[in-house]
Amino acid sequence: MNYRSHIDLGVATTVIIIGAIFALEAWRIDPASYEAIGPRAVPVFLACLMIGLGALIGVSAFASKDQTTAAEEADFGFHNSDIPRVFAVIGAGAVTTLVFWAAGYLVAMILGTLLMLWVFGVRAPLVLILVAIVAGVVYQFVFMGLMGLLDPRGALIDLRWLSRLITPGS
Amino acid sequence: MDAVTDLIGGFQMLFGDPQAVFFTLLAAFVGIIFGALPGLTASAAIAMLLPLSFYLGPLPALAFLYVIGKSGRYGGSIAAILFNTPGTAASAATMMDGHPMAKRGQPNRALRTATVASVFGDYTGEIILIFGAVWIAQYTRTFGPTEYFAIYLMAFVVIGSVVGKSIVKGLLSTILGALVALIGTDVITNTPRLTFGTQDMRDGMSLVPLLIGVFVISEIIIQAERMGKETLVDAGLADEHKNDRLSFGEVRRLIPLMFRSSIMGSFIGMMPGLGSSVACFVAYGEEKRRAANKDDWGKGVIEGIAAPESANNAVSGPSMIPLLTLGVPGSTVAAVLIGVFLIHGIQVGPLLFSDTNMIITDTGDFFSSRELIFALFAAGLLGIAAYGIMGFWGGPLIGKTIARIPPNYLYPFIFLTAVAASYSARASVLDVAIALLFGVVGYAMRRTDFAPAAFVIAFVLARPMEESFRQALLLSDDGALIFLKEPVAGGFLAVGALVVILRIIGQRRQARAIPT
Repeated sequence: MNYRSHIDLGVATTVIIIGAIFALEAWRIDPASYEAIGPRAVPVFLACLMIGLGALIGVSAFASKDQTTAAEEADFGFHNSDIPRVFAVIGAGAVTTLVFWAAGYLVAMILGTLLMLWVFGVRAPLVLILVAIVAGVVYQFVFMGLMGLLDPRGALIDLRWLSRLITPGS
Repeated sequence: MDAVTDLIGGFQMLFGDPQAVFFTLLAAFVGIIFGALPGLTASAAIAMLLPLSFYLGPLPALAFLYVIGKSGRYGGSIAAILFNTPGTAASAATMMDGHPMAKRGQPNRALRTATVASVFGDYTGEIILIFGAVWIAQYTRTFGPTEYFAIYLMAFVVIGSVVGKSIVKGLLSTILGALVALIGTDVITNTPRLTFGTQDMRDGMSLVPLLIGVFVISEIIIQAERMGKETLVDAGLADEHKNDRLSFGEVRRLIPLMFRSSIMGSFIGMMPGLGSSVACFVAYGEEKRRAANKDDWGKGVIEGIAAPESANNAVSGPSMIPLLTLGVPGSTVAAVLIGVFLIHGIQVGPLLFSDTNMIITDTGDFFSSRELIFALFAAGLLGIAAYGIMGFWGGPLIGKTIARIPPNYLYPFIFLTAVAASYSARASVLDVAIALLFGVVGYAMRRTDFAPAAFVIAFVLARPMEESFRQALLLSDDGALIFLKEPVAGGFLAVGALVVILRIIGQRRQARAIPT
């Protein structure tokens, strides 16, 4: 079995699992309706179709006689991927989102800048700290000040006293 | 002649609104920059700037995003010519002749050829849009839910089967987009669906975080992977320049070629799902076939730049025809514009061309949707001129400036903007998490031959498709047979089936042609 088939088997498994989750969730929809086709029909149909097409990918992967190697398919699959870096970006995004929920927008922006700069290879501590603080202040001013967005209270810590130093009206 | 009169009215409305003029010109600039940044596209720019349009009136908002779509297509040629890195998939064809020309010391000539061809193609496409959309809308105005369901289903199947490399994965992309769109409360029965037992999901998914995830965050992940592997190279601007001018005679010689390529691009643009990348390679291939100097193509001839660039930008206008006449987005830019129309309370479809469909803005101004659409067309024409002027004289400078921006600072700021833009759509932290989730989904899709564009278009189409399906069945005495008995609906379904069959045959032939 070649590289593409291995990846396609993984894809098929993932698609079938996602389809099954949607199918189970769709089956729980209350079907009661005065219509011939109620609110459950289309989601159930689509989820089942997804499972079916996922299975088709799996079968095709097994039956494939394609002999292309990983090196020949530069853009397909994950053999050229820098997995630690991918996880670093996702991790930085997850931490930013979590801090946004826990401590509010300003702190999330500062921490998010710092983490992403780090992920993208900036290592000078002074640059990291200064750029992160300036970015946080600018994004607070533009989005909460100029655009008038709601400055949310952190679910765990309320740090809006800090952001109000930049945007008093937020 | 009605369309010409309305277009003059459109220009009056546009120039009567300084904010709309400002945002049209700003969009021309922003689109070029985003298009020229390797890896970023007009769709990414629109995704990030979409929340800004919530704070604008209908005309500035629509003009802003519509013109970014145009200038972003053109901007991709700058990255292709100067850095050998196409900013968009469509610019890969431009790169074949543009980059060799830049390398031999003619970057300005290459960039100016791309600019002239893009402007020529865009104007051709825009004229076809203006007259074509008005003409088609006369016929689609009488369509009911039966015809609409057939059109949506055809678009679904066609987009799913032609957008990606694999038919099955393309169709799966549309199914996933549709399932995600159905999350939330059913509008007909008020029943919560696919909410996984949470209250937060009852309002459904917003388009903004989804777009940002699929187009922006997935690109940031890919750019992070490339860090250290690739660097931008200013290929040619630093070298000695020879014959680095585009003469008027050369432009005159290119006119028939640009016209043919623009017409090809326009027709391809009208088909939902077939985008610029198809148009560019078809035009490049056709003009190379016709050329007397075939052997020089690929080594840096201006014809090899003009053909794909004309076709690339000629797609822009006609790709709006399915949206404006049927409510079916043929491209991701059109899919986003549906969101902007809806935010401003405007229903997309043939009624847009009605004089009696009135729109009242927050400031109390009112105008018909027909006036708004013609003002949008006028903004498109102004935007083309604006990016043409900026690109013709500023293209090399923009390229040089972009080459100096360190990517390790650029992409963290794009990430921050993406986070802030996701939040600003509904002031919801959950939307930030959703954007991140769809960033990972988008990255995985791109790595495994799925079609993110089909996913987004299906997300926009799914709800109206389901509603028209259920409405049609409510009106039907023959159940689902109504879709086959109505000739227009049956015709559209047949076209959808035919496209899939042709695509399957094409892929099988291709597979047989490759020796195992």
